[in-house]
Amino acid sequence: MLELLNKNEILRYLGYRQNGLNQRIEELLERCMDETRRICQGKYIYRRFPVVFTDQGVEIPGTGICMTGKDIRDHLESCRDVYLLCATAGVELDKRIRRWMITEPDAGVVLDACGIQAVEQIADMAEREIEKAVQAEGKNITWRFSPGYGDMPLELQRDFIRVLDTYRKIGVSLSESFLMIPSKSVTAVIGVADTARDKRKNKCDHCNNRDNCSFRKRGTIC
Amino acid sequence: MLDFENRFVLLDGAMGTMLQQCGAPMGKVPEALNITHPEIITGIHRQYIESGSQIIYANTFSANRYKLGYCEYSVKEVVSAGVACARKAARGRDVSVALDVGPIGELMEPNGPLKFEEAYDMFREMMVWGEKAGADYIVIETSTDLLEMKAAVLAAKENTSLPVMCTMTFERNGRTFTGVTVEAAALTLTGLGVDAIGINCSLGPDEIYPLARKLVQWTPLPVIIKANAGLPDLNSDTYQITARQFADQLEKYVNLGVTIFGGCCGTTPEYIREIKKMLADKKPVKRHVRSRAAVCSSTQVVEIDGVRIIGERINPTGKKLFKEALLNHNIGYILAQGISQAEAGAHILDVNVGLPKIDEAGMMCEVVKELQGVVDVPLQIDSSNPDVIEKALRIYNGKPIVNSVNGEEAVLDRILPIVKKYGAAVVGLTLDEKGIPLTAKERFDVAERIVRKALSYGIPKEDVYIDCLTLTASAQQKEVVETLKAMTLVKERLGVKTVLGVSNISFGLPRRELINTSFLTLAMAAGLDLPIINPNNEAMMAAVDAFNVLYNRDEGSKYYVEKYSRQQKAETAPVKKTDMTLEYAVCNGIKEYAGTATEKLLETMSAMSIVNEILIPALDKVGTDFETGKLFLPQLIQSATAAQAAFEVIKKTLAKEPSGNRVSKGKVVIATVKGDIHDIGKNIVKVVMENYGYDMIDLGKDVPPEKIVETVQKTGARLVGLSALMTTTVVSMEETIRQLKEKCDCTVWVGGAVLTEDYARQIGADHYAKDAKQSVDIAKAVLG
Repeated sequence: MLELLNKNEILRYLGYRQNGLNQRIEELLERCMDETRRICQGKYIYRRFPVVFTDQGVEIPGTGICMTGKDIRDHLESCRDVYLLCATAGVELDKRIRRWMITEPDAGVVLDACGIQAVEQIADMAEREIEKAVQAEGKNITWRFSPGYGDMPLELQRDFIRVLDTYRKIGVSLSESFLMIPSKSVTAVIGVADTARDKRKNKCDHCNNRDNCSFRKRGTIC
Repeated sequence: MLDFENRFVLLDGAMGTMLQQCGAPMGKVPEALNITHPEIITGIHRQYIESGSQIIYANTFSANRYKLGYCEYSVKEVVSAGVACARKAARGRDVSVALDVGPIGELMEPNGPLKFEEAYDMFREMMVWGEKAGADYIVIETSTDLLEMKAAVLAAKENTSLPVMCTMTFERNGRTFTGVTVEAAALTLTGLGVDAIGINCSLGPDEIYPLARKLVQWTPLPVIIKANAGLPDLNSDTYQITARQFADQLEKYVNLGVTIFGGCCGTTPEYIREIKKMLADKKPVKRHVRSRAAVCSSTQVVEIDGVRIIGERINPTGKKLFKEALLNHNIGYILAQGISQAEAGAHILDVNVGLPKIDEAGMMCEVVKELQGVVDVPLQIDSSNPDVIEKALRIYNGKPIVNSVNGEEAVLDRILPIVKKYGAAVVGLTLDEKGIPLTAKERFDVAERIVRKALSYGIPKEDVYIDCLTLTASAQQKEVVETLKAMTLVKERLGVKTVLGVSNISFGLPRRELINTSFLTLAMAAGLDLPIINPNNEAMMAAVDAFNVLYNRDEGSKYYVEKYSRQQKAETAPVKKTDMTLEYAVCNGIKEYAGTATEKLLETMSAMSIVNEILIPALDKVGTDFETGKLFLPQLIQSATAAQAAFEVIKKTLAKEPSGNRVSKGKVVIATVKGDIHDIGKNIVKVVMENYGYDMIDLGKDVPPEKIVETVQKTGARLVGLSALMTTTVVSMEETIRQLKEKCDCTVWVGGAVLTEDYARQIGADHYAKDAKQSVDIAKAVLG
């Protein structure tokens, strides 16, 4: 499922700045990527819903979901349908990261970064599937927007998890403090745009951590 | 209770699917319909009764406190109304009502934040109201976490008198999302004494069939199958197979001896009607289940059908560093002992944390919980204190071994009921109030008494492992052979498994390994199943491997050849470079050489000068290179682990010297705050700071403010580090700082993804560190 694990991305998460990799680090990376491929239990789920724009925000009728904030309203402008999506790399990866943080923390941090890349890949896979279905209708999709981006409240995570029944379907739950478990999991909303115009823009525009971001300081993105 | 063994019993089908079909208004929780639209719910139950259901599940799946937190009704209201709807539909019919209990919706420790007792309490609340409202059964279903299931089973059995049926949800690979295997679920739930077990949801009947075949071999209990209507299609949100196909696919289950059938997601009354038709001309098939001696974690079953190794290293007896780790609450050290034994091939780990002046029960539970979060092997709870044993058995995920009871009546009567209640296996020592009998026959007599007593408490003999006790050859040479004879007697006449701590045999003799391996081999030949040894000792492991070849257990010597031919190759690999300096090893993160380099240096330098003149300057250089971007995170950590290897050598040297000569630059308490379970950043900081000579007291993750305050007061630490990953948990960081400032005299520094210098000041922290390097700088400034 994860042949595409992107090494450059993993290095980027780890703060690598192109100074050349020694053989030890290369080997460590390869080993962690192999381990990730071996134990990652990639799963995703998505569902399509119609939306209505009200004074409160973008509502999904019949689900109790109302996505508030200016950013999501802009993002979904002119969309009549949205997909809610949740993807996870599974609980075994968390367990292995915990174990390696005890026995070999260098491998532990690299494996953690591999996990982040893995769940990105899994979400991409789901997104491509959605895109295919949407394009067949002559429509296009917006990029993924997640609770906590811009001024869309993190609390919406709870609704996404509930409506997608993620605990039952793919084993993803949320703690009282809105941490997703397994930790390598993402939720997002994707808009179905009537036009074929690409609404993709710089995802940092909506990020709350924009001014403080070490990725941006290095001239990259997360 | 219905007869589950000699008659077929029909359950109902999906509730959610029916609600969707009839366009019921779906609020935040479908269970609220019990109150707002009871007629819809009763109507659905009636349809299932008409189609043949004999037990209907009340609409209470999610009616727990956690999930109802966002709804205006209480657990009592929703559960009572749910059971009432079902009761109303069943009125005048020969139909029973089950309280339906689904997962809480939050993962339990160590995967998630939910604590065992919290889960237990939420289940208890539902079940007590369910019984009061008139439920006839408790069904716990769709569970993916065996420990959560266990909490629910205990809540049901301890607070109600209703029969309990359990079904778990597996993936095609035979595991749940949290990795629970079918076999582990069967062993554990059978041990807990539930009334029926099975599989529901996730897959269709064809996909579940291979899993059910396993299940029926691992439990004598009646088996339930409640499959989905095939696999779901994400884009249409529908399921694949028709009622007729569903029933056809279920037909083969009859021959497995399955007697309880129903449907899960996507099924409707039509599906139940078709099952009824399919079963009409059939009779339940009697099952013959072989009893097995086996224990498990939730992810790994160990069947004792050959020699299985129990690792002995998690035990403070005679181990200075281990004792120190217990006193300093250094869980990481203990976990590392567990992981290394599991990696060396231990099948089971013995866990003993008994030490005067520590809270044994608290420590035992913490170690068991944390160990289960990092290793898959089952555990053996080693304590003589019934309270410690029971607390650990409660929170243990799987079926463990209790070590131990002996022939004393009082001990047997106190501990065996606990063993039975939690479905564990138990070690019986062949001694009693009179001490260790000298002859084999007398030890056999004690063993016989233990086995008989266990049987009288309902513990099957497969779950009793007899320890015939090793005596020291240097002191009681004559009796050594009595141990071996006793073991053979026990094995042959009582038909139980045997266990034995081996290493004591050589106490006081030179070349202990020679005596140990020889005795181990003799013992295995005499019938030893479970040697308790150090799996990191190659000679002992080799003795077991050789025995398995010689006794034809390792067929075709496959395992032996694979392990030892590979080792030969590895041995011819290039020899270690010894001219590398410690500084070079640390700066380049080469941990294999750091230890040897330190050993060499210790011949000419004092431990303290190595730390101050070589290790710390090297780490400083690495820190600076990291700050300027010459090195990146994995390299920083590699250097830290290399330094750690050097420190291990230094600590071992110092442990041999009289106390007082320690490398400590001061105590630092570190924790990830309450509500937060992402502790990777904190762990990095800990590893790096340890190598600067700070005594790191790591409280772990999700730590309540009170515990941090208490630890600071107790240890007198002057510096406290807190981490939080998200804005939502910074709140509890702020509270922790407030309490620390109020009650302790200490400096607090904080770190975490969403924090900044300003934000840190705002919540009252003295310092902010963006990474491990800055944390060290702060510690240097505060503690020197």
